[in-house]
Order: sequence, then structure tokens, then C-alpha cells
Amino acid sequence: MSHIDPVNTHQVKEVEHPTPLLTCQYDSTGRFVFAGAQDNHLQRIDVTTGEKTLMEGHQSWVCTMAKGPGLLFSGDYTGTLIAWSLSEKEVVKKWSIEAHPQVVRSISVSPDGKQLATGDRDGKVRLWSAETGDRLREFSGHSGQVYATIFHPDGKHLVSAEREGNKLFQWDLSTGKKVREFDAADMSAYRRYEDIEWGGARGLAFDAAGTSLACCGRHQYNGPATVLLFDWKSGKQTEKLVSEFKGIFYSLQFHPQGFIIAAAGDITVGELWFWKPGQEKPLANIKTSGPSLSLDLHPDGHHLAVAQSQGGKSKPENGSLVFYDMRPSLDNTSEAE
Amino acid sequence: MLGGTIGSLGMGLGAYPLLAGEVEKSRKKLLLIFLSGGPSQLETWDPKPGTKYGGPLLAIPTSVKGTHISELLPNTAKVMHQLAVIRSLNTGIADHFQGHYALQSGRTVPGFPVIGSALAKLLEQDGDQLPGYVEMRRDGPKAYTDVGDAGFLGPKYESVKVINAEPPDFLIRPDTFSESKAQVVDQLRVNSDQRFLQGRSELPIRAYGGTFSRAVALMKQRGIFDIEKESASDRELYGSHLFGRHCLMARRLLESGVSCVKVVSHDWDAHQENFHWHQQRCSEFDRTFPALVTDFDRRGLLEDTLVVVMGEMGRTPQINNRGGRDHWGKAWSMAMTGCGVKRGIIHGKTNAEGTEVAEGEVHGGDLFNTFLRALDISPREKYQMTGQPIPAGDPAGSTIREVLV
Repeated sequence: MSHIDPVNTHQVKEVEHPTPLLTCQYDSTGRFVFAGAQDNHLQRIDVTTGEKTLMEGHQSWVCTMAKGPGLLFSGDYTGTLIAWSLSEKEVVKKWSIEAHPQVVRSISVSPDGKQLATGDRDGKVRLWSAETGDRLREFSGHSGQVYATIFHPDGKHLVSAEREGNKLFQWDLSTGKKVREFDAADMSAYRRYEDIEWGGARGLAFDAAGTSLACCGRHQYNGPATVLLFDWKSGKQTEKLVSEFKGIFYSLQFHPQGFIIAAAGDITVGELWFWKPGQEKPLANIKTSGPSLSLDLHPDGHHLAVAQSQGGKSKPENGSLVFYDMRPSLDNTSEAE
Repeated sequence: MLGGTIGSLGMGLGAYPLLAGEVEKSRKKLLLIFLSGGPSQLETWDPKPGTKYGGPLLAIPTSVKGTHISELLPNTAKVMHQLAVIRSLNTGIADHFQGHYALQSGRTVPGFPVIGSALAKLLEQDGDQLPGYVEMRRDGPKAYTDVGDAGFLGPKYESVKVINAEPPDFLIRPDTFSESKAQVVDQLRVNSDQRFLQGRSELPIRAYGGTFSRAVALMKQRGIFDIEKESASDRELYGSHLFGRHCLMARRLLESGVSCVKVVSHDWDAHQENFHWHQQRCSEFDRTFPALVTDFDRRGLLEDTLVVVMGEMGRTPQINNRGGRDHWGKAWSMAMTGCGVKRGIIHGKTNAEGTEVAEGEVHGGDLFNTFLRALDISPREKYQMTGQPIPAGDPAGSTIREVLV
């Protein structure tokens, strides 16, 4: 992978969809992107041709996905969790379970791909066998909706983030016990006036070494979108990366080069922000054509797929999957391959 | 209205006739459960799963065959046979303040009493000592919940406010103000009133004096605000959250003789993450409301009490960029049960995408008039204010006969 400077990030392709998109995920080859939208179907989109393949099985909006080796996991608002076997030729439903009473808010896959974790609207976190869909464990302790889960790269711990409590919980996978809490109060935008938490954590990510944990969301009532960084060893918050975007960071990832990519959205607008930990000033930020709710990094480390909503003033009529290249525009052929 | 006056009184309590404490059977009453902020009709009474604007949530069957409501109301679905649901409200108001006022007063021009104050007047009986209208909400800054109460009816019919399930302030005489001193002060007031009456119109002075006697009555009956006097099983039935405690207190007040109780459920204004938000709000509502309906029915309260559940507006079918639904007054829903209304019925319908009323359109004035009719009050009954007869109901509105028994 050539050195990436995010300042070069530019849009290279857009695939439209008739309803706003909620979540996206590359397959392990980078040839396809899977997208969930405000309809009841999952789409497989060929990155090169834009051709769509419908993946039927969900009865409501697919709002979260994660991939493992040869598998894709998708969760919807009814609590259904589906595992899909992936091959270049076809996608086959491997298993489908009623994983939670209602919404599956978040899915993450263990580093070895053998387990996955889900979070739900009732504050439950559950651990599943990726192969069979058998439930292995339940982690109880959250009082609010669990919007994000992430496995530590050591494969021994899981971190979950709840929407209202502004706390991150670390769980021991072998015992099921809560090991410690991370204070994410800086993510809070609680308004007693309405008794509503407008902030709250939306996404989690570890760096490759597992030394730094990132949590994204929003700080304060009208934003700005914010990323918090925690030192894994001490559990202390080390940085607060505050954007100038009045909205919410819904999704973030660490790039293999160590910088953070975060996708934000608000009424009619969206942006991508790039930070290098240790530097308060962002590396870059670019506007997206619509509010950005989810991003995924291509296996080549050069491209991004971003799920967006489009159209209308404040009420989007449709969506689009937008591809970005982080290399200088002269180096690419306007193709997100 | 009572603040600052009640606590200084403390004598002669036994001299005042009270209706409080007696379970009234004859007088009609209203429990208004106001879902402030504007609940989404699509996530409550009129779900449209699988349609363009239906959102991600499902519809579930109810105790009325063929009728479905949102999956967020599983317990309410079990008491659907007790409810009359209107799915065809078109109030045309997409503003909190205007909606609060219009839905509670039946009018859009300012100055009219809200339903609680109106009933405090219209259901008033000789000898009443308890307030006719009690409103309950959480503390916090004034918001669009407070749109004025009695209007031209005057302070006598304003609500007594219960905040955070606590009794109104000043119901206990301060220790620093002895009973003997209170007697002296009150006798001074009585003497002054009698002197002031000479050669003057009697009515306003008597009314003024009446507030003192009612204040004293309320001090004596302050236990009607104490839900700890209810059984543990009833407290569990209604729930320990604020909405549950307010609803239990509402039952206690209605049984004590208060004509109208309004319980405000806050924060339905889901401009952002509507589905997340409604899961939160509906879970509280669905914990308590169906239990209340069953309990009121079992205790016979529904025979004389109209229970109304509504907000000031609905929410847009279209979903905004924040996953929210915005203000909407063109096609939305409410529910009621109890005296005067049919049960297990749906009135009106919206079109397939929920963007317009398709059948049985109902306006705000129609709703207000229907409340009055259900309580055996003619909307044409008139207030005699300053020589000007003013109809209690909306003269331009009709009643929804399809929902009335």
C-alpha cells in the first residue's frame, strides 16, 4: 500500500439507491459492497459495474453489518440476525436467528472470525458462534441502547458503548464479567429540558495494535461531531478530537497507517474527517454530497465506501453509496476498484 | 394560585364541608394524558410497515380483530377493545404552542379556557372545595406545556400544579407561623372582607374568600396527593417512573372529586432518531397506560371518567436526515376510552402512505366538542361572562358521533 495522505481524498463514484442508505460494508476482496437501507432488503453492489443483487431475508431496515472470513452478518430493526456465506458468484443465507427482542443496534466480529457480538435496544450484549449462530454468552449491565461493540485485537475482550449512559464497558469474553468502564461523558449532550440524550456514543474502533480505543458521536446539543481516544492500558481518555461539523460522527475506522477516518451527518449535509492521534488539528476534512451514516475502508487501504442519504431539503428521498479515493486524483482512474 | 396563601392558614379546618375523600359516582370526570411534543402516529396508533414512510418498525395485532398498532405498544394492544382510536385528525397545526392551546381549548383564537379549566367550571357543584383541575408534569423550565389555563374564566379555574409527583407547595403551615397567629390573620381578612362588601358587588369578594376556604380544604386533604397511601401492588402496577406515579396520583385525585386531571408525558418531539426516541417514550407509556385502563375499568371509574390520550400534533410521514420525524398536523391520531365513547373502534383512516386523511376527517374543534358530549355537556352550553354568552364548545365544530355511545 502506498503512503496515503487524506488531504487527497476525492469522490470517484456514486451508486444511487431509491431509499436513504444506513450502513455499508466491503467484502474481504473489495469487489463488492453490501448496503442496508430504509427498505427491508440488503443489497450487494458490484463496485466496478454498480450492479445490484438483492439479498432477501430481512423484514425491516438493515441498520448494522459486520464481516468475517467468508461471512457477512446483518442485523435489522426486528432483532433478526442473518449470516451470509459469501462467494464471488453468489450470496447464500447461512443461518438466521431472532437474536434480540427488537433492534440489533450493532454487530462486530472477533479477530479470529469465530465469534460475533451484538448489541440491542434493551442494553443487552450477546456473543454468538459465527459458524452456527448459537448463543454463547450474554453481557448485562448497560441501561441504554448499545450502539456499538468492538473486539479488542487480543481476542480476549469486548468493548460496548451505550447511547444514553456515556460509558463504555469492557467485558472479559472468557468469564462474561465486566472488567472496567471508560468514562465517555465528553460525548454527552444531555438536555434536561427534554430529558433526552442528544449526544452519546455511536461508533467504536481499535487501532491495529490495540493500544488505542476510539469512540465517536457528538458533543453538545448542536454538535460538534467528536471523537474520543482512550489509552487501552490505563483506561484514561487521552484525546478529544472536536470537529467543526455540527452533527454526529456515526461511524469511524482506523486506517492501517494509524489515522482515524470518521463519517458525519446532519440535516442535508455530511463530511468526512481525518485525524492523526496526537495531533489536535485534523489531517483533512471533506464535504460529502449528503449526510454520511456509515463508512468502510477498502482492503486496499486506498478507497472508502460511504453510505449516504440524498435529496429533499431536510427529508431525503433516496440514498447513494459514494466511493472515495484517498490517493491524489492523478493516480487513479476514477474507478473505485 | 395557591402558592403563598395556603400555608398561612391552619385553623377551623373542621368547619369546611368537603367532598374530598368520597368516591363520587355521579359527576363526570376527565383524565387527559397529554403526550407533549407530538407523538408519531406511525409509531403508535397508525403504523404503516413496509410503505415508503412506514419506518423500520412493525405492526402487531390487537385485542380487536383486524386492528393493528405499533409494535412499540404490546401491552396497549391487549386493551385495544377498550379504546376508541381516531386516525383521521387534521388540525393543520404544526407548532407546539399553537397545538397545545388548540387541542386543549378547541379554538385557535387566544383567551379561551383549556379543557381542564372548562370542566372545572362546567362540572362545578355547590360545596366543592377541592380544585376542579389539577395538572401534573415534571419540573423544568416553562415550555410549550404551559399555554395558559383558564383564559376568560379567571384564576378560580386555573390548574393546581403537581410537579414531580410532589404535593403542591405550601400545603403545610410553617412551624414558624403558629395556628393562633394564623387564626388572627384570617379573622382580620374575614373582617376586612365584610367591611369591604358594604355597598359593593358581592360576587367577586365572595369568590376571593372562597379561594381561602378551598385552600384550607386542600391543606386538610393534602393526603390526596400522597401516593404512598396507595397499596404497594398498585404502585407496582402503575410503575415507579414519573409518568406512572402521576397516573396513580391522577386516579387518587379523580376518586377524591377532582373534575379534571391532566398528566403530561414529556419529550415526544422526535426530530432526531425518531425510532430510538419512540422506543424510549412508548416503553414508559406502554408500561402504565394499559394498566391504568384495566384498573379504571375494574374499579368502575370508566363509567364516569373519560380518558383521553393525545399530543398537540403528529409527526411527518417523511423521515428527515437525522432519522427523525418533524411536526405534522395534517393526518394523525389519538385515543380515548371511558364514559360516553364506544370501545374497540377505529374512526377514520389515512391514505396508504399516511400523508393525508382518507376518511372521516376530524378537526380540533370537533375533538373538543366530542369530549364535552362524552361528558354529557352540550358544546352549545354557554359561559355567561361579563354579560356576553360564550359557547363552551367550538361553534364551527361538530361532534364525532361515530365514536359516541
